[in-house]
Amino acid sequence: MRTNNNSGKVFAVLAIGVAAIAILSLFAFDSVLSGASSPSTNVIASATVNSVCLMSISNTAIDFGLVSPTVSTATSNIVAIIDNGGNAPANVLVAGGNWISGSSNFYVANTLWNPTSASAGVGNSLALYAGLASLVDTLIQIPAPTLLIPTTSNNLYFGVGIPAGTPPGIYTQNIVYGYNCNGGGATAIATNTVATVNVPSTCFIGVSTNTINFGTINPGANVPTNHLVTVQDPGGNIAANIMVDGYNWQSGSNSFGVTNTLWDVSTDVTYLGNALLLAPSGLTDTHLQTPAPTISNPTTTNNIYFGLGIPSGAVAGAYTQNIIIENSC
Amino acid sequence: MVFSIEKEMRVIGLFAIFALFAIPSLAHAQIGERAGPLQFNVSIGGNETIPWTIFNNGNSTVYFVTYVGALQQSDNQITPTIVLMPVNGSIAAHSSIDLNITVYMPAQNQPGRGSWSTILQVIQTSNQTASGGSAVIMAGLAKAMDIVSKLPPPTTTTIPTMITQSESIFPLGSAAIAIVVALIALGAAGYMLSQHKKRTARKRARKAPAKRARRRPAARRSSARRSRTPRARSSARTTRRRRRKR
Repeated sequence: MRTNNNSGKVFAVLAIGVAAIAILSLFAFDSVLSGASSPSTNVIASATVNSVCLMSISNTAIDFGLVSPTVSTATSNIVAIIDNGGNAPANVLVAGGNWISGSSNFYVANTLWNPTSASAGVGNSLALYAGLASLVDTLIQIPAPTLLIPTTSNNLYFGVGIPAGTPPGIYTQNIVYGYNCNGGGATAIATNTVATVNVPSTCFIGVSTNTINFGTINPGANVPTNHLVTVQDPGGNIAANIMVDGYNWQSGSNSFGVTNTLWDVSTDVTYLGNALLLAPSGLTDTHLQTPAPTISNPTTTNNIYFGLGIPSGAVAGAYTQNIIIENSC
Repeated sequence: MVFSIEKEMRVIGLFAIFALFAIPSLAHAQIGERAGPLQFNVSIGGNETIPWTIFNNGNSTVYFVTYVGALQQSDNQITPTIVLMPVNGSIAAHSSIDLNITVYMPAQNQPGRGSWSTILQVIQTSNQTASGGSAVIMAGLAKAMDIVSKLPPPTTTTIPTMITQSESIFPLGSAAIAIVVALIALGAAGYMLSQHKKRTARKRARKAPAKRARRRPAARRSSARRSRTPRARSSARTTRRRRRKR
């Protein structure tokens, strides 16, 4: 019984509460409905949306890796230029500084840019940056973003060629990116981006002549060690040791030894010098060097001289020999 | 082939002047390499491969052959084997090629004992035909190469775990099964004991009112019956119901 009375009271309280809520809601709804007919004040808002470009770049560092002198990389290092929610088209502008490594440097124009990925040596030379006015219009356009496509972008590709004789080292270059928004003036996007290239020590070899004609020589006779071959390093950046060896003289089935050929680091008026040894195991260090080329002197040389003596009793014939001259660094 | 400046000027006047300024573009193919020896540190019984990059910075294709110098026997160790690939080939203008040098270290050698050196050579082969009494000059590159041996790296051995049919059904093992069975049995026993206690308590509760009723005098009993109000009777019913539920 007591329980029935308590539940009855609870039910009564709940019923009263629901009724009150219903009545209050009715009043609130009624006031909303009648609002249209009651007097009110209209506020007209207006705004002007500017034409803007909100530009950024995808990466502030380019690393070309290990590139030797006289070698060019493919124009394939990519940087994306991005409009993050603007509403106007923009053209990409670019310029840069010279490559620097300590006291060594080479010119900015050795960096190439291109609107598409390209093979080595293909592209446009980067201009030297000297203020916003020096930024070059790449004619690469970043389309205007829209509500449906709020971010747009386009790519710029870079490559580098290392000049002959560039000293070894890690070189860095500053690249400046800019844009002109909707045909306006130049504005910088990023001015502190860095490109890096590591130039290793490298040597090359070239020779001034493919043949030495010793002429006609009698058995037992010889010619002076004065036949010049100029050994070159056309574009490296480090001194190289000159090494020589050779093969036996051959004429059909007849031959005589390689050691009858002499070499020397200076010209001789007589048949003097060091005997050429049999290749490949006889490769000999002449202790002569082709000096390290430089950017201002990209090809260096040194001279080596050869002479020949015919051994007594050598069979008559037209003999030939291979002489091998090598640079080693 | 790069002709000397003196020869060019003697041969053709204007062309020589042009050649003087255009020598880099008219230069015959030249090969180059990065500086520094190739260092091999090869595990006993193992091998190591290092590339040797050869550049052609000329305007025409270069054809080449390679040579590997002999290794001297060292400190009673077996001489390793060197393989250079490719042994010959060509390098296009303004490009490069990697020659792969692989050293195989005999397993019988002792690590850290013995060292070997040799010279690798790349010779630019010429299509020049020498006439009688002539020497053909061929350009090339030489590369020093050093080899030492070392211990092989430690290997980790994984011992596979065998899973039998019985273990797959009863993964806990026989000891775990026994523990589980014991726990179940204990739990059942405890439940049965608690149920027995409850039944006993209910029986006692039912007997006690009857005993008290027998001990009470008749008048008290009848007055108790008469004085029982509906409320008292209801309370009694509730109590009996509660006892039954228990």
